[in-house]
Amino acid sequence: MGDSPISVGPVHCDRSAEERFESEAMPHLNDLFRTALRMTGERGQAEDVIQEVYLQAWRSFENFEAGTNCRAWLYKILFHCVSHHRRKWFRFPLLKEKEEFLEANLVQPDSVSEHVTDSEILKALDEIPAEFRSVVLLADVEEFAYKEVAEILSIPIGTVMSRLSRGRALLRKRLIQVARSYGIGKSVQGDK
Amino acid sequence: MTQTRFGEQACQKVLARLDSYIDNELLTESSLELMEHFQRCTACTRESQERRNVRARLQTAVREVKVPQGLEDRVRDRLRETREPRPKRFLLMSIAATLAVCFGSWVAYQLGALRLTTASQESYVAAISGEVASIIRVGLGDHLHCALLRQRGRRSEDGVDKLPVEFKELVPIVHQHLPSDLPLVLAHECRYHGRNFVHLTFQNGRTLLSLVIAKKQDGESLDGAHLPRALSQAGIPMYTAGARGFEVAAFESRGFLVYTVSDLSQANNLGVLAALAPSLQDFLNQMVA
Repeated sequence: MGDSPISVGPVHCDRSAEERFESEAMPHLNDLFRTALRMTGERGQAEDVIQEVYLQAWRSFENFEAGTNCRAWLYKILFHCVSHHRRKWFRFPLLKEKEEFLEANLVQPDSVSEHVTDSEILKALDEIPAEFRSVVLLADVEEFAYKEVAEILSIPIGTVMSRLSRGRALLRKRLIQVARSYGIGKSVQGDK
Repeated sequence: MTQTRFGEQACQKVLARLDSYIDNELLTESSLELMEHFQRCTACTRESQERRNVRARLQTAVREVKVPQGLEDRVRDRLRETREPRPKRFLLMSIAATLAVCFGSWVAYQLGALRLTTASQESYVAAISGEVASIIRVGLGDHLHCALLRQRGRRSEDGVDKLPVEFKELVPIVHQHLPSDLPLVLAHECRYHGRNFVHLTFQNGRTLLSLVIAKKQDGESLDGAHLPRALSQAGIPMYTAGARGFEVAAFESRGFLVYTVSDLSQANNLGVLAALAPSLQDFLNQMVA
């Protein structure tokens, strides 16, 4: 799924646009939904976004250059739709740039405990600012290359790199806090 | 906060590139440098493993999330709707076009037939007018008889300066209060069923509106006709009625009955009269005085 190859083969002219769309765009639906869910925080809204993504993708499918990266193209549409809906929903915390920067530059040697559950990981992810969350999702979960992430989000590659390392550090910090609240993971390093 | 001191300068350099290393975004040479460093630095090795660990946990957590049942089908259904509307819309349009042609032919036939004899015109007007109160019928009848049937195709020849002298001032009042997209095409005095009317006709495309003013006869009154009031504009009570696609709005001054009759919606037809009513009432009251 997430790690499926992202380039598509050459176009076969005998296939209709519907058939090509079905074989090239539809297989990414579940991954797109999961990303949409993390970005919107609500399943209904995520489904709305996905419907919109596929409508837009179908409408501009003739402009999509066959043989190029369909998956990255769909993600670009997804983040375009998400940012559109974001303005509508006002649910995303604004980034406190300075504070986040300081936090992210600290090295956090504590280990994320294996006792932390998946839902706690998701909760921690959902709590980090959307700017970081989007980059972390694209690079870590969807395994896009930095160049592709930059293209999908329309930001410079340097920004991708700095957001990614801040985002990862923020996520880790939250996970460590969760682990500590259980009273575990405190003395992993034993260097207090 | 608990922190490991990565004291060495080499460690700082490695940490700065660690994310890119994990993501395979470094050149081979740089990767080799880092790998060499890991061999002699346990702190950096542990940090690297921990970052990979978090990344792996995150991947699993996100990918395990269940996708709603039937999502794929719903997306496909929606796509199918957008792919197929053309024939559907085309079909609806052809049905609409066919109906429009049928209706148009029927109207043309009716009007053509109506032009043939005065008697057929009369029965047409009577049939429609019969559906409204007699005091409303006064304005509606003149609109049907004069604007709809008699003026057809002749409006441009008649002009807007055929009003009796004492009503000449109506034209500037109308221009002041009505939007320019409902232009005045005819203003004249006409006679129908033994009664004189001051009659202004407005037309925009297929929309036809008459402003009809008639002197009251024998104690005629809208107020006394027990009609439901639609609205009060500047203290002037206004009434509406409709019959077979024609809308009538009316108010009265001391000596006159004033109507707008048109194929507009009830609200728009009433709106035209409401816009004119205060000025018209002043004008008509002054004239009587």
